[in-house]
This record gives sequence, C-alpha cells and structure tokens, in this order.
Amino acid sequence: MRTRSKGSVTPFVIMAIVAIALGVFAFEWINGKPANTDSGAQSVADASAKADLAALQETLKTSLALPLDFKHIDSFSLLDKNALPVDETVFEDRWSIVFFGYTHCPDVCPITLQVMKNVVAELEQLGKPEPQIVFVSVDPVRDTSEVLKKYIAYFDDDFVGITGDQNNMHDFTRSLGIVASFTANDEDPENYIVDHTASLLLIDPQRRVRAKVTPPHEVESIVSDYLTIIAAPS
Amino acid sequence: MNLLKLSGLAGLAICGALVSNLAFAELPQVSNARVIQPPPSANVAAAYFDLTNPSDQSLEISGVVSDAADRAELHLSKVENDVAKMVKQDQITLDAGESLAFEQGSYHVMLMGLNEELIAGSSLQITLQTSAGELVITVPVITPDDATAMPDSHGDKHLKHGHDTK
Repeated sequence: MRTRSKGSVTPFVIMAIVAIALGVFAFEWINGKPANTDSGAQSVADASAKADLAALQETLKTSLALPLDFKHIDSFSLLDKNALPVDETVFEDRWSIVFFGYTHCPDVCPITLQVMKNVVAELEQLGKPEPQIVFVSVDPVRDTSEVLKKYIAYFDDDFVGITGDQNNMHDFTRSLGIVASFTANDEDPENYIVDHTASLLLIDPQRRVRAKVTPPHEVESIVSDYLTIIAAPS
Repeated sequence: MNLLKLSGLAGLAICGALVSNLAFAELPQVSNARVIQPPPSANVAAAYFDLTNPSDQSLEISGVVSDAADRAELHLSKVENDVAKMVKQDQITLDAGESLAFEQGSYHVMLMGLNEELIAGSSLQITLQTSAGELVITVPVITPDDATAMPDSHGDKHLKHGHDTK
C-alpha cells in the first residue's frame, strides 16, 4: 500500500516562530571552511582533520558527522523531569543521544522514543557502551517536569528529560540549531501543534556535537552510526 | 457484527436520503486499524488504518469524529528540511480504486483530549465522514512493542461495504 503526499493542506496560521535554526548544521562544513593560511602546519592539520571526517562520513548510514570543533553544548539552566535544576554537565563523561520533541505529539515522538528504547536494548545485547538518552521538550509550557516524567517512564525510566523556562529553552535549542515553531489551532487553542527538528544529536563526553542523526530513525542505522562515531579518532 | 449492522444502517440511510447523487458511491474498505497505547500522561493519540476505495469514483474524506476524545482531526505528518511537521487536512481524496495507508509518520487520525486512558487490549471507535457516507471503524489499542514488532498485521478487520450502498 502506498503513501502519498497529496491531499488538501489546510492553510494554518503560524502563531509564532519561537526558534529559528541558526543555520543548517554542516553547511559550513560541506562547503568547506576557508583554509587557514597563517600557518602551514595548521593547514596540514586542518587538511588531515578534514580527510578523517570525510573517511568517517563514508562509513555512516544516516548520520552527518560534524567536525570536532563544530559546536559544543554551552552552559544552560533548565529543569529535569524531577523538577531539579539541570545544566550542561549532564552531558559530561558519557555519550548522549538527544531527541527534541513534545508530549502532545501523537505520531512521530512516541515512535522515536520507542526506537531509542530499542537502540539501548540492542547495544546492551551487543555488550557495547550505552548512550544516555535525552528527551528535550520543545514545548516546556505544557510539558512540565511531572508530565515529562510520566511520559518518559512509559518508555524507559533511565531516559533524561529536560524542560524548564520557555526563554531558557528557546536559547538552548537555538544554540544547537534546533527549530521549534508553534502552529495555532484556532478551533481548539489548547491543542496547538509544535513543528520541530527531526534529527537527533549525538553528543560526546566532552559536550561536543559529533553528529546529526537524520530521519528515518531506525534502530539498526542508529546503532551502527553510534558505534562508528564513538570509535572514531577524536 | 456491530460493524456490519452499522454499515448496513449507513447504507439504508444513504439509500433513503441521498440516492440521487450517491447511487454508486461505495464506502472504502478498511483493514489493519490500530492505535498505539500512548504514555499515561499523554492526552493525545494517533489512529492508523489502511483504506481502499473500491468504487470507480473518487472519494472524499472530509472529517472525523470520535467519542474517545474531545476532538479528532485528520492529520499528515511529514519531514521537510529536517523539520517534523503535522499538518491538519481538511479533506483527503481517494481516487477510484486507490489505496491509502494511514500510518506512522504519514496520514493519521489525531485524537486530542482523550476522555479516558487508552489501554492495550481495549478498543475505540472513530467515524470517518466521507462522500459515500459515514464509515465507523473499530480501532484496537495495541502496545508500542506490538506496533514495532508487527507493523502490518494488527487489527485486521477487513470490512466489506460494497453491498451497503446499492
């Protein structure tokens, strides 16, 4: 049975664009940064890093590898699912896979969390180091810590949940190039829709964003790319 | 049995009231209906099913209602430029003979404001408003594990409506 994309699309009113992507990850990288001409040695190092990255990319299934110096998680101040303060240190000393979504999303978000659960199970079965799974709510007003905690527990109680002040969340997601745009539901204002970045981020124990894991999110490709990237030179 | 009765009633209603312009309309065939049990704190859920329009006329789906939720809407999920979007659909058209899957990451019936917690093993009803009349679908609630294990083999209630509208 096929799926199609036609059908009439309601012209929905965009109420507010809360976050705009700062830029598509890796555009800079794909287009190539200008070579550093100050130092020949530096140029050689850059060329070598670029070659490493290109070689790494060749071995990935659905992820986009990012340069080591591309982006790292800056300081932030939000709340976890237990309503306790959480900051950037939650990303230290372990690998993390981060998913941006919201609990009023009936279709894509539960599927993705289910996939995350199965990724962890698969890695456990393979005897490989398991990443920390982090669910960041792009809808912190409706997704209080309490809501988030119950929601996450349904999949895996070990998953980290991050919510908190809406402005702080906006700054946090924007700093990572994550989009969240709110669409009003005129007939039912409480049930607004939040469109959000579909990719997952893979963060290394030094808080560096090492890859963007693009959809479709499937257990096999995520496990494969994760294992490839954690073994890559850094 | 209930469904057959309901579809029979729908057929009678159509015969009585709309025979002039819908004499040849046929309700779509439904299979594989399911809703995945949502997490307990969620008050939304998505219903999925496969539809086939068996007739030689195109069919419009113009709305959906359900007693299980405050509100039900036809939605389409899609990813555009790495943004996951849900877009409300005022109308979905099935061409003559066309099949369409309502499935994860695509078309779905979005249930908003669930009236009670949906538990795997139970079921709910949704009613699609179509140009061939109302189509009542009984949708079993399944677990997420069932959904990932057997995405295409659940709730296989294949309904024949071909004789109801004659």
